[in-house]
Amino acid sequence: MLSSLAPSPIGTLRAVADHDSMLVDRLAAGDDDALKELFDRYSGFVLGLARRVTHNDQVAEEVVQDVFASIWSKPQRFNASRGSLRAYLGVLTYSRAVDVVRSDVRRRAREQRCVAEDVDLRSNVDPLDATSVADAVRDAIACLPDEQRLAVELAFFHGHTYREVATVLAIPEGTAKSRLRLAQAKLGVLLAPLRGEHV
Amino acid sequence: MTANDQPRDPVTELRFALAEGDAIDASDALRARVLAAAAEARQPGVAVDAPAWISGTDVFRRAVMSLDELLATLSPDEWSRPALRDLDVQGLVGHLIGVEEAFAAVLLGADDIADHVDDTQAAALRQRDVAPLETHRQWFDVATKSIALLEDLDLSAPVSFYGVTLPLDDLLVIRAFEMWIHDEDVRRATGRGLVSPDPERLARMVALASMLLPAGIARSGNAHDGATARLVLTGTGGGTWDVNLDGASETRAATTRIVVDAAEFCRVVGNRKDQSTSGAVVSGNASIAAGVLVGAAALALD
Repeated sequence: MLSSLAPSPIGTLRAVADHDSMLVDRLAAGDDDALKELFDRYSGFVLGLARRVTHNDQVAEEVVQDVFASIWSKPQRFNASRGSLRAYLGVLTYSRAVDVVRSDVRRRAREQRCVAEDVDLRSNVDPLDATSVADAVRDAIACLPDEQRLAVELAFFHGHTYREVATVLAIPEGTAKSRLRLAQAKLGVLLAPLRGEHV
Repeated sequence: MTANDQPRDPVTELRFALAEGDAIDASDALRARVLAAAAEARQPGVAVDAPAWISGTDVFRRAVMSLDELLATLSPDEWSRPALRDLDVQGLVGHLIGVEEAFAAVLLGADDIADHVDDTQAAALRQRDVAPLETHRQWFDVATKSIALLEDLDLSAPVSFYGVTLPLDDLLVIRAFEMWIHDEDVRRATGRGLVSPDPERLARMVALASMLLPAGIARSGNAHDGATARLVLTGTGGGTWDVNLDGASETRAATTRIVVDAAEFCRVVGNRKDQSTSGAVVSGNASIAAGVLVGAAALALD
């Protein structure tokens, strides 16, 4: 009978759910082949969604990297009883992409503010006054993008190593290093007046 | 991206993405970058939230305590239920008394004993003449004596027991493994539900079984030249191992994958379950997968 051969929608959904659960169980067990399968199956979806939200290919790729790193690092956060893996990745992606957009908006506003404050920095800081210098450094750090500012605060104010910064921020060690390098370069420019340099 | 590009309604975005997303191909470069970043964030092969590594003595002690708690719950008639081979529950505990006496003797310097079953049969039969509570007490006394002996011994020193030579720390995991298998024999015999070892014990049992697996595969005649299987043991205490079926030490890409719950895998190793009853999911070469699981069961002592 033909109808008995047609796949049952309930059976299909259950098969997808079982497959999702096993994929996540494999991720939790450290099977990196499962991550490759996950990427091959869902990267188009994740990248497409990230592009729609960020309107920026490069930023969208960073979101993709964050999303897959997140599920690899914390696969147990996925709960198959609350929805499909695809939907979970969609929510993760959307949330991360919105964070990036909001952070970008804040960064632009801060940069505009910093351009105005830069004039004050150049004219008002006395390089021989420790309090004045400390204020200037604090202001300069506040002008950094959030992700770089957090890394700097952890490394320089709390004395954490690269590895510890990476652990606290739940990012790869290489990413922590690169954020600190970028932050140092930016601080070098912002604080050049303290050294009597002109930018 | 501009300041005016505020995110739109999430449901709309998700709907668009669902419709068009699969048509987008992520580049190979992005794939490589994602996989590299992931490997840096978390080491492949190691289970997430892996339990703490405990000593062989602690693994053994926990197994003794678990079995002791179980035996304390048995009613008088449950001691005479058929449990394993021709042994009832009391005889099985008698077998464990024999094993424990032999182990304590080896720890004190005696020669290894050849046969796991034959050499303990006398201790098993001896229990016919004693009350179950006395059997329980005798077993607990010899098991705690073994634990006391361990305090003065170097856990890294190799020890031979029933033809297996390993550092004492690992040998204790094998002892705990056997005790848990018989713990579950008693549970089956008395209609109780099976109980997996705690995560720390299970992690050590699984790690040791994976290490010994090539030997079991060779012993069972299932060695395949050049074949590698990926063993993915799920659940707390699990992990991922690539097993070379020819015993080679080189790193090779696996062509066959076996996914199975870590405790169920231990039941296969204890020869209490097989490929079909363990819930193992195999992809790739079925005969290689069968070779791994039959090899795992060949590690069992009885």
